[in-house]
Amino acid sequence: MDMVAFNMQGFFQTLYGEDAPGYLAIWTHTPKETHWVAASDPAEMERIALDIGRERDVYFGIGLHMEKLEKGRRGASSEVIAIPDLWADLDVKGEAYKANNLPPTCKDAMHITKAIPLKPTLLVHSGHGVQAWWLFKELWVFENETEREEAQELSRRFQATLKHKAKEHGWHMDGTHDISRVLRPPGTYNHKREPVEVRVLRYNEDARYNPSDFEPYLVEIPDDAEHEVDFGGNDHDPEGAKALLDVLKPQLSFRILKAIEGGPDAFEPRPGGDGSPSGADASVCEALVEAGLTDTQIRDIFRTFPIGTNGKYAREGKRGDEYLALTIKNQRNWAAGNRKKVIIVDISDQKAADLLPEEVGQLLSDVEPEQVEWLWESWLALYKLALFDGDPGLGKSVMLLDLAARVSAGVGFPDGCPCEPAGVVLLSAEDGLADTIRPRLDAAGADTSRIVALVTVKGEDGYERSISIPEDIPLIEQAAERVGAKLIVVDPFMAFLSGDANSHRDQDVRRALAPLARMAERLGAAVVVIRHLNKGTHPNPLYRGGGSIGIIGAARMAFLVAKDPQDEERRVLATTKNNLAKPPASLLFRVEEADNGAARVTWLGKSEASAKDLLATPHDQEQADARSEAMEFLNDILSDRPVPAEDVLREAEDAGISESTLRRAKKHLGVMAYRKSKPGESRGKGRWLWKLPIVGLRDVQDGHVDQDENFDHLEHNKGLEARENRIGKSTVQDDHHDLQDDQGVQGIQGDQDSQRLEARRLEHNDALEDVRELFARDFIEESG
Amino acid sequence: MKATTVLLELFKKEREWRRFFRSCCESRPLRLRSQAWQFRDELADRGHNTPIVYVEDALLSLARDLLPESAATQWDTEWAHDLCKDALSRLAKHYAGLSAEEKDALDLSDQDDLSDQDLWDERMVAARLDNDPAAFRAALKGWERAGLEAIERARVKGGAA
Repeated sequence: MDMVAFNMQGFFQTLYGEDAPGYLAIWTHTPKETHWVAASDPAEMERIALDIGRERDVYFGIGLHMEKLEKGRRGASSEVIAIPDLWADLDVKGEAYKANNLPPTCKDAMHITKAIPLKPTLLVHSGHGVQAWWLFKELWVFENETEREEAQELSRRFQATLKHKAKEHGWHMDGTHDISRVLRPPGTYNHKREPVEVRVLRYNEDARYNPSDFEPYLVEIPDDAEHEVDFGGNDHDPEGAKALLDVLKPQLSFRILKAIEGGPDAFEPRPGGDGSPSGADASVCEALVEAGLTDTQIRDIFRTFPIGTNGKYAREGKRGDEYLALTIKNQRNWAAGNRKKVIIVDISDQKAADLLPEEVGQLLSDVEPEQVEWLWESWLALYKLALFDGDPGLGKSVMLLDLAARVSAGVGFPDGCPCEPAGVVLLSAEDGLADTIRPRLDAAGADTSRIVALVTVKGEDGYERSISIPEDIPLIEQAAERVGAKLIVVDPFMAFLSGDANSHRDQDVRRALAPLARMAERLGAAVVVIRHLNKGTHPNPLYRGGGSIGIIGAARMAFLVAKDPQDEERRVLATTKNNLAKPPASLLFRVEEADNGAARVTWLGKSEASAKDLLATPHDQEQADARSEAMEFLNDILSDRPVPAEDVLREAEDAGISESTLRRAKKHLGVMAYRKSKPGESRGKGRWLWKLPIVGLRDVQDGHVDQDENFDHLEHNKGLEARENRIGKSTVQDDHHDLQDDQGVQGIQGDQDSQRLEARRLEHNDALEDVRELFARDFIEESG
Repeated sequence: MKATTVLLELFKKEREWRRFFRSCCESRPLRLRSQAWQFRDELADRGHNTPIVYVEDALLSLARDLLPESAATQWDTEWAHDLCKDALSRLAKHYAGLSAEEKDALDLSDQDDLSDQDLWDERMVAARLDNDPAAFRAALKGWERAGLEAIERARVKGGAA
């Protein structure tokens, strides 16, 4: 690849060769003007482009045309007779393009071209982005209409492949696949902001291709990946459009309505926005797309109201539909690409600018107050979702079955709260219906005729399959209706989560829980989901449930079942979250064997223990977190002196601590790793030692030291720098002497450094803890 | 100030940035890295000019600390592969620039030449096991540098010969 100083003539000659047929368009939009030049005359192309492009943006049409067209026309793809290449126009974020989802630099933009493992022949800096050109071995002159369509399709698929790659990076790439597309020629200036020269960056003479060379790398993009505008004929329904706008008025901002009804002249762009007729059309289309209108409905609005009748849509005449289709398409693609993203820059200001004051928020005087209805006062609200957390084997399920039995039989709740008899739906994935659930319910005095179990359902293939949430919510509703259920238990939630859902992904969890919560509202029932705790040691119960924190975020009430710190045989049911009432006092219970041999619950009154107390107490060694155990082990083994890494690993293995857990603990403790070699031994030899950070370097009495920079992530760059400097030294022996000479100083310095680092590490951990809390709070607030 | 520290400060103050960070983390490591420039620009606006690679590393490290179960904490093999490929190609380019004598002088079995690279290689493996992208990048940088120095020594030796 060579750096080149291409002039424009050389550029055109490289693209089209010496004897290209037809004509090429040199175009400028201020004013709109096309100059048609013989494609075999690159010198003339350059002359005209330079002549008209001194103070204006100039473009050239990539596809050649059979004959010169009118001065106002750029030509259409259906008239193109030849193309020299495939291309991509990659915009880069900056002053010219404020979009949130563009590559940050030209270099980043080049990642998009890697979708095709064929090097571009030419790279052109377009002023605010890059054009990449993959030149054919020879100009592709179409022999017939079919070949022209093939070229158009190849160009479309080629760019779709690049767009797909861009999307992987979270970036947007403009579609420029139309073979009549115009782009800026090098040698001119991009006047979008301050004039920037358009120039050839690279030219790779050997990179020439046949059109078929690209085929193996093109991906098939699903039809819905990019919106194609379809007006579905030419019908126009002005009355329908007027009625539609009446319906839409409450959804549209005053600014947009003013533009629709007053035309482009009445359009007030946002600060810094595009106030041109095209800008007005784009803003209106954006709002109408957001409002959910179809392409035809949007066109009807443009055909009926001044935004179109007095605007560019009407002025474009026969090409009005084409123009509008492009505008709608851009808005739909933009919406598809950006709606899911966080717009960091002044999104709230933009929204505020769109709204009238009376459109913001809901006056509480318009809200009908409602009383919370309880199944179990302060514990389980009807119409709501509740969550029960706890480690496996602690009796969550048997306790929930006790509650189910109480509801079914209309027996009061454990704290004496009364209960009307009602139906119960049980979704249980872990216990057998016949050998576990039924005996437990019998032992708890349930009216089993009011309880329906739902575990599997017959699939379309005739085989039983597990119930899946949210897909099978209609089935759960039917089961609930069958017994008039006021309590629905999902035990455990993860077992019923849809197979393609990720329980650690908030969006997936919410997608499953939101319909469950709506089901609770429809049925007027309390929906209880059970979840197992994770292995962490976080003292805040909100973080301890398995899977996404969105689970607890979606629940209105959440409870924890844990061992009583005072008596391991007893269990405590404590509140971790209650959005609807003052958290009730924790309750004690014990799991016992009933006369029928099944497990049953005996309630023992109130407990003082809160959920935090319960989680802060490690009940036994098995329950202690694996990492804490590993940290304890490291503290112990490294307390006196540095220990060879292989010894630590071996001892850890003997102690049943996995290597990955050990390494996590090492990082958490800030354990330092360094290599210790004997005098005269070359660098890279010797044994790796581990030591606790508070042990100073003076402990290293012989041999040179390679200190591991990643003992503290904050310090890794410093460590690397030090290490790299050492590598630059001429001999290993020198290193050794340096250390020997400075040993006394380094010993003291090492201690001070260690203390300083320790202090910084603690400070960093505190900051992390604060931010963790904030993340948790966000989750909860966002989920309602 | 370290990128991690200033990012934590940003997250403490700005909910929007926390949400953005979380949404990136929930997607995949590539998403978090490809959006690092937004964080870099924001930090720059706040007076902290931090190179993009440090911001990337800090974001990935914070993902591990703050949202340890999110998708962004998965080890990104493709990323590591690309980094290694780039480093190898740079070394290859330098190697190609050696004369025949210099290439002869670069004895790849020479332990002295390779010992530094071995050291960094070990660290790369350790970083991978620790799922620590920053340490991996640093180790790879050291590995490449050691390789370049070996080539440079060969150039001197070959030239002298």
